Amino acid sequence: MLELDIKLRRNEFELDLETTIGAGVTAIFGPSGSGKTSLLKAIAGLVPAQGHITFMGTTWLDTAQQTRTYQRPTYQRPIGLLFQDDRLFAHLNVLGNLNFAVKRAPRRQPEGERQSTRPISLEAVVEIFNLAMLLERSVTNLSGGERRRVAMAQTLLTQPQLLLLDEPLSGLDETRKREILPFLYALANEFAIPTLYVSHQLEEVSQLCQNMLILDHGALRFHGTTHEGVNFVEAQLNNLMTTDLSFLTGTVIEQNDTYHLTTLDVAGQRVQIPKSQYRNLQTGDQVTLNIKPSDVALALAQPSGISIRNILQGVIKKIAATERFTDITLTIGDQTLRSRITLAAANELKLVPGMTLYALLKSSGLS
Amino acid sequence: MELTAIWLTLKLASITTLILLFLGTPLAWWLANSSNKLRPAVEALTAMPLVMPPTVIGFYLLLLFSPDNPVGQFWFQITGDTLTFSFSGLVVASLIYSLPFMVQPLMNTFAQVGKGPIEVAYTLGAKPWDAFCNVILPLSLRGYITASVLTFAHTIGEFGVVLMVGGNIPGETRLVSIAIYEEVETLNYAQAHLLSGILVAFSFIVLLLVYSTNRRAAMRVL
Repeated sequence: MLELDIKLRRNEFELDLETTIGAGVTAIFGPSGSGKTSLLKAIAGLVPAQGHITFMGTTWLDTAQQTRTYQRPTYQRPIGLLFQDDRLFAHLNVLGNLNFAVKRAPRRQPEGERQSTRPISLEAVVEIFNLAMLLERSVTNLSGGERRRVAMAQTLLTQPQLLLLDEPLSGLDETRKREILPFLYALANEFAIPTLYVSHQLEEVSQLCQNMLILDHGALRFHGTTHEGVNFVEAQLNNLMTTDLSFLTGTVIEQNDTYHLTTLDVAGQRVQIPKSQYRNLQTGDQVTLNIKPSDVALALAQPSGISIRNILQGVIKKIAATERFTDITLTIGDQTLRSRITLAAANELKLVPGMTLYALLKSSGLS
Repeated sequence: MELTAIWLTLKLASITTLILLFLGTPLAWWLANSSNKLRPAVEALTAMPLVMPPTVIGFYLLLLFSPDNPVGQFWFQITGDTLTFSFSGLVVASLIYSLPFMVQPLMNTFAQVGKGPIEVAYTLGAKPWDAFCNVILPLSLRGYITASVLTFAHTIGEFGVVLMVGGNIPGETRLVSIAIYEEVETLNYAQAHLLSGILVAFSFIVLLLVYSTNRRAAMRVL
């Protein structure tokens, strides 16, 4: 769908990558300064690049012939770019900002390239992003979360065929992130628009993206499913682990409406989680769980008569002791789970690598 | 009465400001955004009238405008009029003399607005001209007001250049500042007082208007 073969010179390094990105939500993951934003801007046509970009059979960039370089101007690429620093127009109110996109949307695609899909209406977007009360407000009087919602709505109203999201959750505190995440999920998943999602947070990537592309110093290190990508980062790019969270991926096998629980199959074992409030999961869907090491307790034998419903059998892979805690890395099937326990507990249990253990996860702590 | 001089001065300042709005915009935009190697040189040239004595500018312009010079000759051939000691000559001289007062505030505004808004406009499907008119212009409104007022006021206060280039022909080149000079020379202090007083009051009123509308503009923009 999106074929990239581009070279792009930056001050510190050269971004050089050749790959084809398919439908769905693809994360562009990597540390700060790895070229993620430059790549996005090159796809948008905002920074000069060398090579080829082809989107759904239409050439966007072709510098092969030195004499006849073709670069399709940004305003003719059917993209929706959500900038990292939401850049709403300060001279227009919320409605004015949205209408700016509405008015220019039809010009984006030349005749013949237009798709027959129904355009996304202003009314629909206002409802999805809950903007009805904000329309007449000046954009300078909006909170950070409100600004993001307006920016997301504006992006959708350009009727994009490719969404480019540049760290849409950066600069927001935890409360705001939780407020924005459902909207972001709707933006990336509900309209079935192919999406590139730039992020350096594995938590976000694991929750929002199906595929993952890992960049490091301008080079492509990995391109595959998020599940494999997370394992790749765990195994080979420890320096990129910006988090101590563990990521378990499972498949939905059952939905329980009475208790509002979703049951997953994680490496052949069952895990129950509270039903997602913003994702309408179907049996067979893949879900990645973010698990804090401090939320994982360990037991030598399978416990019974206990409120915790999720007990996973695993094998100790690594034990790392710090001054106050011991971090235990467990292997569960082909996946990894970390647990943080006190030194005293670790000594009492006499843990050694290779031992089989039971990891206890509280359902209410899972998302 | 000196009404002719006042009218002529206002006419010169208005025409100069209007033309400079059109010439200054692309120049200021280029200076604010270009990474061309020539940019510092062009910027320095633009700022030259700020630091040069007006008589120096006037002297060179006088030589340039003279019918013996190719520039003056060319003008004479296409308009049938000379640039020296004429109103059109005053306009051309004022354009050069007041250029930095238009370009510098605009350049600062464009730099302040930055690349962000125009990049967004492009991604929302706006063509360059559309993006400039509907995004950059309204966001730069404050800079445009400041630049226009400074240019207008500075053109009114100009003396050395217009004296050298235009001389003192009533109804053609005799501006208020030159009229005041002449009244003082002929010890006609009453008339000099009247004209000077008008200029003082005018300057104050203009600045007052700017600062009060500017605040409103500022609130609309910020």
